[in-house]
Amino acid sequence: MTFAVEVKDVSLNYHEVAALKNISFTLEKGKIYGLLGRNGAGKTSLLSLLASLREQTGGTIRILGDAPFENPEVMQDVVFIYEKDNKDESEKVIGMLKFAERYRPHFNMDYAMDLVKGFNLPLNKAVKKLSKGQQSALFVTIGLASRCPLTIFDEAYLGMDAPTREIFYKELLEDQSNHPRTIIISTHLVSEMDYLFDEVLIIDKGTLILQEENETLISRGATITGTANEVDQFVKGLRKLNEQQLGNTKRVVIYGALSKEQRNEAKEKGLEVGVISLQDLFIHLTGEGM
Amino acid sequence: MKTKPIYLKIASDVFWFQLKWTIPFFSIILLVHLIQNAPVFTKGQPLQDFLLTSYISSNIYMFIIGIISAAVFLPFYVKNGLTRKDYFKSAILGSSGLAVALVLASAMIAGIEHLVIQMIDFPYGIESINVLQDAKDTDNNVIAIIVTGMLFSPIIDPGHGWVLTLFLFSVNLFTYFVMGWMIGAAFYRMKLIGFAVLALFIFLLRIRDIIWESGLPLYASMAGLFVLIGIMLWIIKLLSRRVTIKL
Repeated sequence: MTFAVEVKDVSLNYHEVAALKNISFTLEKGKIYGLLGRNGAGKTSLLSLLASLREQTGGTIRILGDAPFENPEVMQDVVFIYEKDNKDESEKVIGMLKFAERYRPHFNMDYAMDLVKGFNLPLNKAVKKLSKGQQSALFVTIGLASRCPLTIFDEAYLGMDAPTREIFYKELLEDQSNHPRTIIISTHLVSEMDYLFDEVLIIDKGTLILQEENETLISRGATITGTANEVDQFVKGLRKLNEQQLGNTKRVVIYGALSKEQRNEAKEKGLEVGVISLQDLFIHLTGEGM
Repeated sequence: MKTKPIYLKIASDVFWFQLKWTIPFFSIILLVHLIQNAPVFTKGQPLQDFLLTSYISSNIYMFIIGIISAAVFLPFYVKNGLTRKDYFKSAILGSSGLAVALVLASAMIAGIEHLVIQMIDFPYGIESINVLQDAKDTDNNVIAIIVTGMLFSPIIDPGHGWVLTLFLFSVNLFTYFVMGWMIGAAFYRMKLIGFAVLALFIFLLRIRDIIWESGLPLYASMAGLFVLIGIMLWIIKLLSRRVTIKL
């Protein structure tokens, strides 16, 4: 089976600083992956390697079976959209789209135009004159309409307001189901985007600490809600990630899957067992808050 | 079906894009040229044709385009999924095309000037790039060497015939592009250490002049110039073939 991405023992050093340390993982074709990590964890370094913007110090990378660096067939099939400074970009929106159409073999201009309409982008305005949100929307449009087999969004939506982000999420899911491809989304907005991910990778201090299906991952913990005394008694000995109390009602987030007996016990005591959020897990697994 | 190599597509894009920049540059040079030449009609001096004006200013223009090639175009293309190698080939082709286009456009304007001068029977005549033969003063001051080296290239002698002269003019412009590109590539890759390449630049400029002024037969000098261009392209290739593209 050819994986969309195979990363084996990859390391990256900036002079003496190790940005990535022996990272290995595989990504399947047609899935959406969430890449989570705190600032400086190595997310962008890793994504730059996949986009062939730099070469790894050690290890191997394969994209659709081939090493990507300076490989024309692979490089044109990888699109990397990231948050960037466009203050000097005097090209117009339409010029940027035409350029992408010229060099991206799967680019679809009709779809790009639909997105331009949806995002309300002015076609004949220079990129540098667009608002931050419009710039993000333009590059996200290029990322989606390029329909590259490996599509990477690295915090590319930070400038967008909430309704625009919603359009992006909707389009991402819809276009991905119509034209399956592998998508990697790196983000800080975990709570807002968790439903998009099929699988999650968490990277911390240059090391991959976890790769798991989203559903499996969130079954690794639970929330227990009920009267303070009952909750406290129930969670004794369990690993608490977070707790909140309002009056006599308490909600505790625990880490670790609950056994069937524990679930029954909770039910008998009138406690409500809920699903943990990816955000809570992320914060726990990477040590501190964002 | 064999498709056209991608570098040809990039080369054509690079060429047209740079040509778009060249239009305002050329318009300004032409305006300056006209203003500068206006008094000759009253002062009784020969007119200097546009080829002469363009010859001096286009050197600097191509040098700057060369720097931009390394610092702006390369990252842009790689970020859009194209390889460094394809960009390298396309920049050579695209900028050679630009050098030829600049020379042809200058020659056309100069041709019109020559025609007009003949038609109006201007008594003091018109000068072209042959006057540069004497213009280059070989001062031993380093700055003077750089400045005169950049402004006045020694390779034009209309005694060779116009076709060869225009060809040499184009090669000369391309050399400036490659020099700018080499400096841009060194800065992009090594930041301040890239300054070291400036010394190399001055050295190569001198070598070029020495080759051309050595009294060697024309074709030997031309071969020397092409070897020099080859060395610079090789340096650019070494600097950029695995370069990290900054975000």
